[in-house]
Amino acid sequence: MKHPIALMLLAGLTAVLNAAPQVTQTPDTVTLRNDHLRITVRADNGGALAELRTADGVLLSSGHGLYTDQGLFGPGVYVGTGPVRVTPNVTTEEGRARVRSEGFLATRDGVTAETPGRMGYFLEYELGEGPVLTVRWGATPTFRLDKVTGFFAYVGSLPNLAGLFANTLDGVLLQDPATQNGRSYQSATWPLSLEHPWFGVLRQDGIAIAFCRPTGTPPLPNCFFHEDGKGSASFFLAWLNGGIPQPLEAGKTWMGQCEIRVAPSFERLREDLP
Amino acid sequence: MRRCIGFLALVTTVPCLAVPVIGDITFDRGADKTSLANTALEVGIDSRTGALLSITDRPSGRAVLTASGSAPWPLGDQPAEVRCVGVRTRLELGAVVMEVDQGAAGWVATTSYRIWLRQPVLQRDLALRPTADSDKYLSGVRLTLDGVGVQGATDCRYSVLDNWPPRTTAFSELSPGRQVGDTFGGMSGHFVVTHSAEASVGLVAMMACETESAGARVTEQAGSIRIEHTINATFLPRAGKTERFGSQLLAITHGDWRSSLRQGRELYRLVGLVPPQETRDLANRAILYSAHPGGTIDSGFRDVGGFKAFADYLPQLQRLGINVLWLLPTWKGPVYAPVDYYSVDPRLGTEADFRALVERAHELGIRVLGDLIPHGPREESGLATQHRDWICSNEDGGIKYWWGCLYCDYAHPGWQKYMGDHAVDWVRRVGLDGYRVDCAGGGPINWRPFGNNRPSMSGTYGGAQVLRAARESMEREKRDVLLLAEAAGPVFLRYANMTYDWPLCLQVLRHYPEQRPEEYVPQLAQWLENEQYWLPPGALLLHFLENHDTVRARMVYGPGPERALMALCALIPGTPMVYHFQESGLAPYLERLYALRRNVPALHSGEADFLTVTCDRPAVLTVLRTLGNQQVLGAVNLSGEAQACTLRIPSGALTWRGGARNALASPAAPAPQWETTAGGDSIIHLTLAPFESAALLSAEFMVPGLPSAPQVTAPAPTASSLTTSRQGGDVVVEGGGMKLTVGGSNGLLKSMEYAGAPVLRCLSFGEGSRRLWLGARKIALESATGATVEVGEVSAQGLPVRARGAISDGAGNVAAEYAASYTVALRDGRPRLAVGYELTARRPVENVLGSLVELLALDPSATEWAVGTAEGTLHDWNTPRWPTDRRYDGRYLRGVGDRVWELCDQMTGLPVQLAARSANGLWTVLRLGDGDALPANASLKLRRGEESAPFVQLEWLDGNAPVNLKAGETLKLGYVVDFGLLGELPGGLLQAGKLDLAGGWMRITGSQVEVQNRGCYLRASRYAGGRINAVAEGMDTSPIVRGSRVYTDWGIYPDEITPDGRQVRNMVTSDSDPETWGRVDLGGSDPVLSFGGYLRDSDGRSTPAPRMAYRVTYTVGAAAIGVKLQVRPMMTLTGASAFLAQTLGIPAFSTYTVAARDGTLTRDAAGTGRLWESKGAGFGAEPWMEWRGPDGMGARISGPDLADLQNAFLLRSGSGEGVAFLAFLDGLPADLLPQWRTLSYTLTPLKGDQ
Repeated sequence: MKHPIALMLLAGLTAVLNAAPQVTQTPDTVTLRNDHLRITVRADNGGALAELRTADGVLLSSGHGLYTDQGLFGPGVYVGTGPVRVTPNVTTEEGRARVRSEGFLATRDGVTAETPGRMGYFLEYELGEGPVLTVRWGATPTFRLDKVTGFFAYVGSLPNLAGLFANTLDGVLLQDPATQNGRSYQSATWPLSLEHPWFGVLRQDGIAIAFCRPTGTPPLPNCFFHEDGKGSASFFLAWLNGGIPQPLEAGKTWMGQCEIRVAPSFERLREDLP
Repeated sequence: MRRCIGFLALVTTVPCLAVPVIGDITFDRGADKTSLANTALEVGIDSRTGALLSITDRPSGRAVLTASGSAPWPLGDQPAEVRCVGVRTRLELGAVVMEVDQGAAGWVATTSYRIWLRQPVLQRDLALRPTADSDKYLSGVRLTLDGVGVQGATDCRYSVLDNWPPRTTAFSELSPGRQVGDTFGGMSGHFVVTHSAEASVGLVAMMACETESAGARVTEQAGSIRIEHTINATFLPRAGKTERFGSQLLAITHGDWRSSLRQGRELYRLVGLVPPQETRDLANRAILYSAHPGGTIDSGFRDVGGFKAFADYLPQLQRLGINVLWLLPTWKGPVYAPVDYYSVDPRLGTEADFRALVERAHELGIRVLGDLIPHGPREESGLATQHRDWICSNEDGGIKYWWGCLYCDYAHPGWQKYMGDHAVDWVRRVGLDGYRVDCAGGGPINWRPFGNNRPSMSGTYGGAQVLRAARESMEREKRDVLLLAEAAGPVFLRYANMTYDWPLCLQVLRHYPEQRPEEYVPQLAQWLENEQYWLPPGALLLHFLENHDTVRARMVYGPGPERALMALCALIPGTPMVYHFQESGLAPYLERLYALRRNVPALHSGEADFLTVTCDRPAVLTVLRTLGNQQVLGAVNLSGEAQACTLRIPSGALTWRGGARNALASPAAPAPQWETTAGGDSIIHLTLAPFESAALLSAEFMVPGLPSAPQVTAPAPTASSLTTSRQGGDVVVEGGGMKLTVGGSNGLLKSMEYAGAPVLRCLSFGEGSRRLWLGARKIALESATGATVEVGEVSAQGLPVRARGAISDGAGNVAAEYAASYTVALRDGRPRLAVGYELTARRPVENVLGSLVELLALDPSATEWAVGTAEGTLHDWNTPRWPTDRRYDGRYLRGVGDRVWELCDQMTGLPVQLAARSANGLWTVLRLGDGDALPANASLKLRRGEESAPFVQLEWLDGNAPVNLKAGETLKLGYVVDFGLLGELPGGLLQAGKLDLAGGWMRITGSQVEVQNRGCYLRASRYAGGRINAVAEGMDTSPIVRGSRVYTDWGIYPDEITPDGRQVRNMVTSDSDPETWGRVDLGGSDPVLSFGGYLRDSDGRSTPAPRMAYRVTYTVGAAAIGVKLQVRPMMTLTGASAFLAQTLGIPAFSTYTVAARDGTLTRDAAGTGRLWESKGAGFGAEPWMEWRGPDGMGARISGPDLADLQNAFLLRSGSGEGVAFLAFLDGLPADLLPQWRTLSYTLTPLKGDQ
C-alpha cells in the first residue's frame, strides 16, 4: 500500500472524520478539500478540474474539460474549455462546497470559437463530506443546427490503471487495461445498467474510481475509455459520438452530470454502490 | 422488284428504289414491305412505319420474328404516329446496310440493318436526331424486337442467358405480360436465346453497347416474346445533333441449344470485341494475389509494414504458385484517394523500396500490377485548379466528387492521356507489369460533358477509353502488360485482359449459403455454362471469394465451402485470385491446386463444359476442361458430406481412356475406379470427402511440379506399459517415448513429450482479461502453491495423475478449489491424454462477465497446423503471416491479426479439433467436446511475444455472458489429446457432415445449418444474421417461409449519402451481418439454433452507431418452430417514430387468415401492398395470422407477443409473393432504451388439410 493514510481514511474512517470541505483560493486556482478528496480548479483552464487527488495527495485524475473536434465547429478543429480563462465562483452551504465557472468554448489558441456561433458553457464541481465529487457541465449554443453529429464530450485523464470496470446491462465487468492504444470499454457497445449505471477504473494501488449515474440532456450516447496501452486512460462522457444526429437549438442548454466516487478497493466500492 | 449490283459497285449510298444487291444480298422495296436479304436470312420492314416486321431463316423458311407492324418507339412514350420517312442502302466491304428513317414527335430515328454475305447474322444500330432543341434531359433508349419465336414450332423456348437462377421458359408456358429482365444488367451481353429443337432453328439477340450500360428485358406475349434492349443513355436533345448508340446483334442459329449459344457468342466478333490477343496466354496462366504492402484491409492497411516487409513475404507467394501480384494503391494519399499519382506513399517506404519489391518479385517469377485510380485524386492534389475541364460537374455546374475525390471525367481525352502517362510512368520507374484499374467501368453522369459526349458517356465509354489509353501508353514501353479492370461487362474486354466476375463472385456464389447444395449445384453448373456464352470468345474473368471491398469469405461461407470454392475458381475458366492472407488455413491445398493449374494447359486455357459429364450426386459440380487432346475433369464436392460419386462421361467426350488419376489427392489416396459401358460411356467411381475436389487426368499424364507430401521421418513409438516417478517434486509418467510431467506445486500440466518433441504444455489456466471473482489481482492456477499431486490407480480409462489445490487472488483470498486430472491411456501403443478440471467456487460469483482461460502450447517445432470444425477443415504450414502477434480490432467487430483461427467465427456447440504436426511428421490432436463441455471460444495463434509455436487458447468462459456460481458449485472442464497420429491430416479431423438426432437429423454445410425434426424442417444461415432460408415440412418440400431479416430503414439511423451524393434510406439489417455468431444446442428434447450479432448497413461493411444488437433462437419442434427474437438498441431515444421489424418471406400465397379483434377473418390475397394490419384492426385475445398457397400449404404465426407489436401485417407484391412483417416499431412514438425487446412466437407449417 503506497498511501496508507489516504486509504485508511477512505476505507474505514469516513464516518468518524467526515467534515465539511475547505476552500482555498488563489488568483489562478480554487481548491476544495474534504477528508477524502482534494480537487483543484484552474482559472486558466476554463475553470475545469485540473486535478483530483486523495486527501493526502495521490493524483487520481486530471485534465478535465469539455471539447469537440467534429460536427460543431468543423472537422478536426479542437474547440473546448482548455484554453479559456474564467473566474471561478465558489459557494458553500451545509457541508458542501461548489465551484462553478462559465465561459465560451475556444480554439487551441484561446480565441472564442465564432463559427457557426459561440458556445457558452459551465462547469461545476461540488464536494460534500464524503469521497464523492459531483460534476455538472452544460453548453449553450448561440446558434442553431438542425442535425448535428460529431463529437462533443466531457473528458479527463486517469493514470496508473490496473483495470476497467462497468456495471453493464448484462452484468459486472472488470477487465485488464488494454495493451494497445484505442477505445476500450464503451457504453455504446455494452450499455450500462439502466438502474445502476456506473463504470470506472481500478488503479495499481488498489483505489477504485467510479463514474456513477452519468446522465445528460440530451442523453449521453457513449461513456467510454480511450487507453494509451501503457496504463493510462482518458474517460469520455459524450453527448455526441457520431451516429444519430441531434438538433441543436440556440439558447437551449445541453446538460450533463456525473458523480465521481472513490474507494480504496473495488470490493469496497461495490459495497458503496447499489 | 428485285435487282442486283455487282461487287465492284462504287456507290455507297443509293436512293430508295434504286435497289442494290451485292453477292447474295438482295434488297426489295415494296409498298407494304421493304426487305433486305441474303441466302441465310431476310429482314422485313413495314414500308409505311419503318418498323421491323419480320426476320426469316431462309434455309428453313421459318420466320424467327413476326411483328405486328406497330413500331415500338425507341424513346419515351409511344408517339401517336410513326412514319417511315426514308430508306437508304449503303454498301460496305462484304456487307450491305439498310438505313430506315422513322419520323415522329420531333425526332428522326434511323435504324440501320447490316447484313453480310451469306451470314445468318444481323446488326441493328440506332441513331436519333431531334428536329428541335429541348431543355429536358432524356434517359433510356430502347431497341425492340417484337414477336420473336420460331414460326411453326411447337417446342419453342427462350432464356435470358444471364438469369440467376438459370431458366428456360417454354412458349407453351408463356404468360402474356410477364416480364423477365437480365439479372446482371450492364455486366452481361444481354443475351436472349429463343430456340426450337424440332425446327433446329433459333434466334440469339444481344446488345453490344460501348457507350453506356444496357439491359435486356423480355415481355411474354401470346405465342411469342418481345425483346427489349435498353441503353442507359442520358442526353439533352439538340436540333440536328445525331445521337448514336450501340448495336443490337442477332444471329439465326441452326442446330441444338448449345450450338445456338456457340453461334450467338460469335456475334461479338461482328463488332470486333475480342480480348487483347498478344497477352492472352500470359493472362490465361495468371494466378493473382492481391495485397497492400501496408497490410490487410482488416487492419486499415497497417499490419504488414510497407514495401520492405511485404517483400519478405514474396517467397511464400511463390511457393503458393502466385505469378501475378496486384498491389493495392501505393500512391501518396489515402489508399484509394491519391493526392499525388507521381509519388509513393512515404508510409510504405521509398521509391527505391518499391522498385526493390518489384525486382524481387520478378526474380521469383511474379509479375506486379499497380492500381490505377481513374476516378480522380483528392482535392488537395490541385487538379481542379490546373484542369477544371477534366473534372466532372453537377447539374448546377459545381465540381462533382466521387469516393471522396475530385471526380475526373473518364470520357475526357485529356484525363485519359493523364491516366495513360501515369500508368507508363510507374512501368518505367519501378518496373510494373500493368495495372488493376479501379472503378474501371467509368463513373456517374457528368452534366458538363466534353465535346459531343453525352453526360452518360463518362460511364461505360469513358471507362473503356481509360483502359485503352493505359494499354496503349504502356505497350509503347513494355509489350506484355496486363490490365485487370474492376468492371464487369464485355466492352471492357476490348482493352483489359480480365474483368471482374462480379455476377459469379458477389451474387451467384452468395446464394450458396442460402440453398441446399443439392439444389444449388445444378443451378450453378447451368449458370456457369451459360456465362461462357454471354461473353466474348476467350474472355477472361477474375474469380475471387473476397477482396479488400468484401467481407472475408470464411465468414460468409465457412472454412469447408471456402476450400471448395477456391478449388472451383481454379478449375473453371478465369483467373483465380487470393486476397491478402486468405491463404491462411488453405496454403498447402492452394499450393497443390495452383501447381496443377499452372502445369496443366487445359486447366488454364482449355474450353469448359459443365453439363456433359453427369454425376449421380447433385451436390458435386463437374467441369470438363479441354485443350486439344488434353482434358481434365474437375469435380467439386460443395457439400459437407462425403460423396461416393459415379461420374458418367458420354462416349466420345473424353480423349483418354483406361484409367484416371486424381491429381488433387495425395498419392496414397485410392485411385478412382474406371469402367466403360457397352455403349462406350466412361464411368468413374470416386469418393470425395466433404468440400474436397478432384482433378481427374489420364492415369498416364504425370503433372510436373506438384508438391510432394511431407514424409514421416520416424515411426510413432509405441508402449505397452507406463511407469511413474517423482522428479524434483513433479510427477512424471513415462513409457514408449512419452513423458508426461505434472507440476508438483500447482498440479499444472507442465509438459508432454512424445517421440522426442515437446508436444504439449499448459502455460496458464485462470482468469483471462475479464475477471471472474472481481479481485484486485488475477487468479491463476500456475501461481498456485501447495497443491497435492498423486498418481491414481490404473483403470480402463488409463493411468490418472490427480492434483488438488486452491487458487487465490494473491491477497490471500481463496476464490476456488480445483482438482485436475491427467489420465494417460495407450491406444495401439500411442498415448491419449484426457485432461479434466473441476473448479469449485469458494467465493460466489454473481452476474459477472468473467473469463476463464487456458493457454496451451503445442510443439514449437511444428511444421503444420490444422483445425477441424463443423464448418470444415483448415490446414496450413506453421507460417506466422502477420508481423504482429497482437490482437487488434480492424474493419470488423471481432479482433483480427494474430489468430489463424477462432471458434466464434463458426457455429459453436459442436466438437472441434486442433492439431499440430511435429517435424517428425506425427500429429498431435486436441479434441474439444469429445464428451466434455465445450469452451465458449477457442483460438489458435502461431506466435506469442518472441516465442513461436501453435498456441491454443481455450476460453472456457469468454467474459461475454454473465456467470453465476454459488459457493460450492463446481465447473467441470476437459479435453482429450491424441499423440503420434499419422497421415496428411489426422483421421477424424473433418467434422462437417450430418448428425442423426432423435427425431431427425442436422446437417451443417459451411455457414448453413439444416435441421429436420419429424414434420418440421428449418434451414438457416450463420452468415446473414441467422436468416431463415427455408421452413418446410421436409427438406424436399416447398418452403412456406423463405428468407427473413430484422431491419430498420427509417427513424433511427439517418439517411445515407451515396458516393455520388444522393440521399437514400439507410437500410440497417441483420441479413448483411457477416459476423453473426451461431450456436447449436442439442442438449434438450428439440434442437435449438441461436444466432446473434449487430445490424449492419446493407453492404455489411459497417455497423452504424449506436449499434443495434439482435438475437434469434429457433427451437425446431416436431410440428412447429419456436422463434424468439430479441433486439437491443444501444441507445436512448425518447419518442422515436421509426420502423423496426422482422420480416419473413412468403412464397406465392392465395389466402390469409387473421385472428382479429373483430373475429377470424379469411381473405383472398388480392392486390399488392399491405393486406391487413394489426395496427388498425387489432388482434384478438389469442393473436395469430396465417397464409396459404393454392395447394393449401402455408404457415401460421401465433403467440401473445404479437399483440405487443406496433404492427403486424402481410405485404403482397405483384408476383404474388409476400412478406410477413412483425414490427416492433411502425411509426408510433416509442422510447428506445438499451434493453432487449423480445418477440416470441410459434411458426407452424400448415398442410392443406389443417
